[in-house]
Formats: sequence, structure tokens, C-alpha cells
Amino acid sequence: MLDKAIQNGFNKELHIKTKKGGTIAFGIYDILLFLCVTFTALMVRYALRNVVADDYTIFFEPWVATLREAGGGIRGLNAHFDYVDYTTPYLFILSCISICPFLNSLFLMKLVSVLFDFSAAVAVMFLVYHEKKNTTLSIAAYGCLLLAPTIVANSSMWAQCDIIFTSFVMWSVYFILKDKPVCAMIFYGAAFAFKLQTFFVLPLFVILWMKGRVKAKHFLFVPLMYLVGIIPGLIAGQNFLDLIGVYVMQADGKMDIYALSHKFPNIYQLVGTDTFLIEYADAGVWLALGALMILMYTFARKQYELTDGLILQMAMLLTMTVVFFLPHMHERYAVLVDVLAIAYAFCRPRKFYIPVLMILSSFAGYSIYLAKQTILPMCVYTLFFVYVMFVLGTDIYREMNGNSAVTTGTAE
Amino acid sequence: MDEKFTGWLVREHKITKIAPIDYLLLAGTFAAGVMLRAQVWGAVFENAAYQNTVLTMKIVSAIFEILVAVLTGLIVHRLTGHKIRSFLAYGIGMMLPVLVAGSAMWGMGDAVYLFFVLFSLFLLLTDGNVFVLSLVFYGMAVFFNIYALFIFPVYIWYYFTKKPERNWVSGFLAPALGIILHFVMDRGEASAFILFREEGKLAASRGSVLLSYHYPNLYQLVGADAFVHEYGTGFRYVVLGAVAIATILGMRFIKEMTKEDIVRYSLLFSIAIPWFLPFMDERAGLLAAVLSVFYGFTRLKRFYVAILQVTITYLAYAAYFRGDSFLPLSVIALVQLILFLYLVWAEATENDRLCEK
Repeated sequence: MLDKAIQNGFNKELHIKTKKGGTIAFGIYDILLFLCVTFTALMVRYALRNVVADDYTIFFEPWVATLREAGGGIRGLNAHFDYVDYTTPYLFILSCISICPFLNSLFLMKLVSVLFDFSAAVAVMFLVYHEKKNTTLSIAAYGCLLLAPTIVANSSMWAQCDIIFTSFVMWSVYFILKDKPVCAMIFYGAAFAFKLQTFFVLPLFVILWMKGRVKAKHFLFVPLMYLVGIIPGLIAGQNFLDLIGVYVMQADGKMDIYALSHKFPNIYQLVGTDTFLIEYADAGVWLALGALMILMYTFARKQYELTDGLILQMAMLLTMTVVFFLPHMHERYAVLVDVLAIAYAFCRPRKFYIPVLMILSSFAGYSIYLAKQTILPMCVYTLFFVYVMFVLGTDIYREMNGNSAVTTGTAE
Repeated sequence: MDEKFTGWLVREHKITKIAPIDYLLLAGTFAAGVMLRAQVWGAVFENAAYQNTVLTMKIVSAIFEILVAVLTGLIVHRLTGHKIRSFLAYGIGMMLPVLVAGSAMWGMGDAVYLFFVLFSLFLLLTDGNVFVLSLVFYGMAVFFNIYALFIFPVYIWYYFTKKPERNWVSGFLAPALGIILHFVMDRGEASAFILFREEGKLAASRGSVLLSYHYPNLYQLVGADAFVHEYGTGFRYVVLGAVAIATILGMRFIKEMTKEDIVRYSLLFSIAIPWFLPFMDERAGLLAAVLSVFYGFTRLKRFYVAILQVTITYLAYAAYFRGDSFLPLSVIALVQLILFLYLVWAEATENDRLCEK
């Protein structure tokens, strides 16, 4: 009798009504899976809490100390740094961390990033649910993201904050798929307020504009959110021009010119990362621009139905193209692609190998940085990277042609 | 408002059938191509033996490269009939790293011979009776660079598959004259032509004679500095014999030659011959790289062939620029061989499928 009750209880489906009148069905199994995955993800991160990366001792620790000396919180933003390339929102977070009486700075920094790990995972979960209407699959995507080596290493080992902008971009993509361009651009703007790398995925939004999914006026949210982000700095009394000039300094890239690729598996791992540092770097920018032009033209010129799957694929391919050709890319710059790849694989399960290859090649750079070793030469990971780009390109082409055949009755 | 503007961007003109976005691509890739060249213009090779810094030659090469890019677009249009693909091909042609590296960085004039080869192929792909004219341009290409000869068997096959309306055979005098004139003019640094003079300076800077100068071919697998004279002489005859046999077999068995056939046979020869031929230098794969782009556009499923071929060719260039190869040239040579064998297999099975249909 009790057995039957337990089994029935587990098999029972619960329903949550959505605002639009739909229902989300899930079982006890799903709740257990969610809890189990969340617990595992938390414990993995807890186990890595004491790892100290060089970036922390060289950059973050002195920055936090400087912010603390300046008073922390809002006042801390008036601190004078020898070098800092983070924008006001993240510096404000660091400044608050600097005066937090509980726990140490490293742990708190990691905690902030971990929170955004979960934010990104929830975005992916919602995104997969939007596509597949399957709760178990969505939770599995949530779990995969939380346990992806690059995501774990980025926040919990390295104490980096790339997941913050990544999670905002993922929410932005989610809202694009939900056909809510205002929300999408607000999140995209928030991402931009944190990191310049948000621009890697900007070409996607241009395509979305060409295809009528976003209006030109929505792009105003990008600078608007940036301005919102610098408010703490303005309150602290910082110079407005200095606050908006952070990205100009970053784009200048003076700090990174000693190698064409900073352990990132891109084109420079094939031709050499240490010669023609200036020439290849400048040419690489134009090559990236040219490659983007060609891709964007292809996506914008043809008439086809822009499906959710296509949006995800295009987001990946365009971002990959940028980081593949641009010089001075760092180990962590494909984190957005890693997250998109996981979401994509759950929407297209036959493409499960895409995130595997992607994360494998992405993690190689992390290995070199964190563990000072890698199993295979970087050029091999570059080939994985190129292969993924090629598969994506082929899939997009096929789907575009298929969709154009459906909409117009003809295929090229 | 947005819809109006985006709609206008992709709306084709009634007569020209070209949309504003097409012009944007043409202008954008042109600008990117020019800027790409400008960035590497002043590159100094610290580890390479010779680098041409003659400004005139770089400018002339750059102009020919733009013409090559235009021809790339036109040839793809002729091959596929697709306007969008031809615009894309032009864009890719403008930014092809092997072309940029050869002229803007290195200062060699390969774009000149490449232009004449492509113009010749463009005429060959024309339905009209322009075979002789095509051979005249081909002869000019051979005059400027003997590497143009890699695809000569294709012209012979083409000749034997067509029914000439006029006396086409006289056209073959052009490449013959091109070869003779090439060797007459090619007197190293003493040549009257700047193109040949630069080649002479490059050859003189090489130092010891090698079976392969950074070119990823057979000799990177067996050793480029061993039995130089013996292998050099022997393999020249082997390649000559093999090409002659292949040409005769083609004359015997190929009854029809489509536009796509011209491209794929040319590509196969331009990969195979320098892979076996001794004394090839870093730039021997240029023709194959450009032909692979055409191939990629005709066989979109196999566009990776173009990506691979361009990468392989560029790696040879990069090896010269650096003084050594970042990746082992033996591995690249092996990849090149595998790519060639795959292409032969893929095209043969494709032909079988077509025959079965």
C-alpha cells in the first residue's frame, strides 16, 4: 500500500499555469533531478573555493585592496588605479566586496560569479523549455551548463566574471526567442555594461534587425544600460568621459600585444602566435570584419524563415568567427559559445558533439593557464574549433535553404 | 520605418537585379581587403632570406589581386549561375590570405600570372568559341610563372572533348611560346623584367638547393635535403611521365567536359603536381588555393576543401615568413595528400552516382 502510494506520488504530474494560459508540467522526478543537479553544482564549486589563480594575486587582490583603502562601496569607486580595465558595475561589486565583513574577497568574488552561473543555467533551462516543452530536458540542460568544465573553472577556480555578461546575453537570446525585443535589448545592454566582449555577438542583433525581430530603436537600450551602469561612478564623483572611455582603452589592447593569441585556439595557433605581432594583429581585425561581412550578408540577403534554431546557430557561428580571427583573444573568450552550444545541443540532440568539441577546445586554454599544461597541442584544439564552425555553417545553410523552400516554394 | 529600410536594402533593382545590400558587401569587402593589405604592407621578415620591398611591384600586384577577386566572382557566377554566391566569392577573393601575403607582405607578383590563368579559365567557361583566346591568355600566364603549367592537361582534355569550329590547335602555340619566352627572360637577377628579377633575387637568397622550399609535399616526408640531385632529376621525369599518362588516359576516356569538370580537374592537377614535383617553393600552392574556392562554391557541401586548401597553402607562406613552420611541414604534407586522395575518391564516387542516374 505504502509502496503504491510512493510510486504514485513519484509518477504524479504537477502543473503550473502560465500567464498566457499554458501549463508547465513536471513530476517529482524533475524536482529531484533539479535539486540533485543544483546540489552537485554547488558542491563542485565549494570544493574549488580555495583555488587561487594568478589573475587574482596580480590584479584582483590589489584592486580590492585599493578599493578598500578608498573607503569601499560607492566611495571606493574614487580610488586611483595604476591599471584597471573593468567597467563601473563590476568595480562597484568589487568595491562592495572590499568592505564586506563576512568571508574573504576571493570567496565573495567567486560567490558573485557562481550566482550568475545559476542565472545563466536558468536562462538556458528556460530557453530549452521554450524550444522543446520538455521539463526533464530543460533541467538536464541546466545541469549540463552548471557542470560544464569551462563554466565551473571560470567562476569557481579562476574567480573571473565572464559568466555575468554571458548570463545577460543568454537572457537576451531567450527573450528574442520569446519575441520580446525590449527585454532582450535591456539584457543585452546590461551585458554590455559589464564587458566589451558582449560585442562578439552584436552581428546577430544586426541580422535580427534585418529580419524584423528587433527594431532600430531597441538598440538604444545598449548605451542606456551602459549609462545606468556608470551611475555609481557618477555618484562617487568620477569624470563622465573617463567612465565611458574604459572600452576605448580595452579595444586599444596595449596590455595584450605580446602574443597574437593568449592560449585561445584560434587561427594564430596555426600560423604562430609570436611573429608579426603588429602586422598580423592589425590584419586580423580586418580579416574578422571581412569574414563577418560575408557571413552577415549571407544571413541577411536570403529570404527564409528565421527559426529559433537558426538564431542559436547564428549566434554561435558569428561569435566564433569573431574570436577565431581577432587577435589577442584570451583563454576565456569562448565562454559565451560554450553556453550557447549547450543550449543548442539540447534543442538539437543529434548535435550533442558540438558542445563536447567546443568545451574541449575552450578548456584547453584554461588548462594551460590554471594547470600550466595541456594534453594536445593547441593547433589540434583549433582544428576542433574550425570543425565546429564548419558544421554550424553547413547546418545554417541547409536550414536556411530548407526554410526558404518552405516559405517561397523554391530552394537555391 | 525599420521594415521599409531593411526591405529597401534587399530589394533588387528592376534592371540590374542588384540590391543595395549587394553594393554594401562589394564596397565593404573591398575596403576590408584594402585595409588588410595596408596593415601588412610594412611587415619586415626578420627570419626570411629575401623580401621584396619595391613599392611599384606591390601596388601592381595589389591591382591585379583586385582583378583576381573580380574574376573570382565572375567565374563563380559562370559556374553556378547564382548571383549571391558570386558576390560572396568576390568578397572572399578580396580577402584571401594567400593573395594578401604574397603581394602586400612578400612583394611577389603572383597575382599577375594568377589573373591571366583565371581570365583564361573564365574564357574556357564561356559557351562561345573562344578557346584560342583562352589559350593566348594561358600562354601569358605561363610566361609570367611556370606554375601555370600545372593545369595544362585540362586544356588538352578540353580540346579533345569539343568539336572545334575553327583551327583551335593553333592556340597551343601560345603556351608553347609562353614557356620559351619565360626561359628566355628568366635570367635571374639580370632579367629585364622586374617580376623575373625578384624571382632571381629570391632564388639567389635560398642558399643550399633543396627538394622543397617550405612547400608541404612529398619531400617534407622523405627529407628535403637528401639525394637532392638524384631525387630532383628522377622525380621530374616521374611527374612528367605521370602527367603525360594521365593526359593520354583523359584524352582516351573523357568524352564530355562540363564547367564543373574544368574546375575540379584543374584543382586536382594543381594539388597533385606540386605535391610530387621537386624544387617547389612556398608559393606553388597558390593556384590550388584559388581553384579550391571555385570548387567550394560549386560543391557547397565540400566547402571545407577550400578552407583546408587555403590554410595549407598559407601555412607554407607562413613557414617562409617565420623562417620555420609553426606546425611540422611533414604533417601538413600528409594532410595535403589525404585531402587530394579524398577529393579523387569523392569525385569518382560522385561520377559513379551520376552515371547510375
